[in-house]
Amino acid sequence: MDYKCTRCKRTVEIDYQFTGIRCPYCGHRILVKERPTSIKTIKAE
Amino acid sequence: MEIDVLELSDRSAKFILSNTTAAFANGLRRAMLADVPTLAIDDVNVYNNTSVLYDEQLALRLGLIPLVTSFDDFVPQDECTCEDGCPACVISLTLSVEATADEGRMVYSGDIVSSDPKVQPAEMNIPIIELKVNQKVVLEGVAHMGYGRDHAKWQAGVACGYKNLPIITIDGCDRCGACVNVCPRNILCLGDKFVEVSDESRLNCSLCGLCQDACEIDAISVTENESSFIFTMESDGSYTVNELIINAVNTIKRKASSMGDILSTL
Amino acid sequence: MELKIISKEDDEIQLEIKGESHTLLNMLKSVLLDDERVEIATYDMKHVTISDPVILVKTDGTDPIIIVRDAASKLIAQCDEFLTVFNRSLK
Repeated sequence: MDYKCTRCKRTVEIDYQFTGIRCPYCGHRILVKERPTSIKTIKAE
Repeated sequence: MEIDVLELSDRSAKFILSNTTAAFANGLRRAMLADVPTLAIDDVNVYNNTSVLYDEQLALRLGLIPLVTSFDDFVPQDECTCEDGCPACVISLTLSVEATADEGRMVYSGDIVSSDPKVQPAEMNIPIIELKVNQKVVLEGVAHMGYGRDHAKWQAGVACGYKNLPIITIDGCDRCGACVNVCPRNILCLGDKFVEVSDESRLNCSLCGLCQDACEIDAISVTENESSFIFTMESDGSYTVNELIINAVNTIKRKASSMGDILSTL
Repeated sequence: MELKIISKEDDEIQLEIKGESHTLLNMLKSVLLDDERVEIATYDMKHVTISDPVILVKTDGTDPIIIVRDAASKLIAQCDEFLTVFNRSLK
């Protein structure tokens, strides 16, 4: 799963158990999940 | 049955239908709204959407865009003889827009690219979504034919309505002018000998009856003609108004004839 | 559209019409009431989304199925008349 740091805007891989939710480059704790590349089919209603 | 066309264009019509029943007028109105099938985007395959709207909100907006439909060329998917989708029941439309790195842009319905050149959005200037810098939308919409009774996106007629033709009779008027002043739509005017109503302004009468109440000698009376109707209707662009009326009547005919066929087997 | 006979006698029939709503039924009822052989013609449904309409026709003795078939034909004739008059008024 790819996450993106909201401060330094780099894609990060996170590891819950040891470092927790934290950007390894700048230490910021707010990350955004990247949109997956799969095709989403939805009904237009 | 008589028809007197007052206004007619591609998108709207106003006509007087006389010598018929209210049931026929209502059946025609209901068929125009709910039973004439049109094309609209039903499924959306989203490849990428970094805009501010959710995928589902974007899909709803796409579904509501009216598409030019041809009644004879397409069928609803449940009624199609193919198993899995063919060009007669499924049409693919794509939308692929990206805002540049300098400025945002508005995505309009004219940006939609259809796989069938006959099926296009009825209006090119419907704003779909505004993209800010570097946002993009890449999706494929799959259009099916459906009925207005299932979802409003498939509704072909817009603002279809009728009212009875007003009959205004003036007898024994003394030219006091009270009814002329009280009419909210300025339909009546003072003639030489008595109050007059012109034929065009009579159609605007709302049957409110204020003139009847204002007249102290009961010289004016307002009633409605039970067998004549003033129809006003607009089309959303999927059909022209002529096609819409003809398709609505053909739909009613088809229902009645399939009922007659089933009854003859009973 | 599916038709199911709920009850039938020599001069009365109750017919359930699946898949239809007021659009067709009200027009059919109006055409039936114009027929002199019909004594009672009415239809009922609980709500268009949850139930199917049932039409009741009571005649003066004529076979009610023939009467409903004639009414369907008269409705088709009315629609044809409308189309003729409409196409003529466009010219």
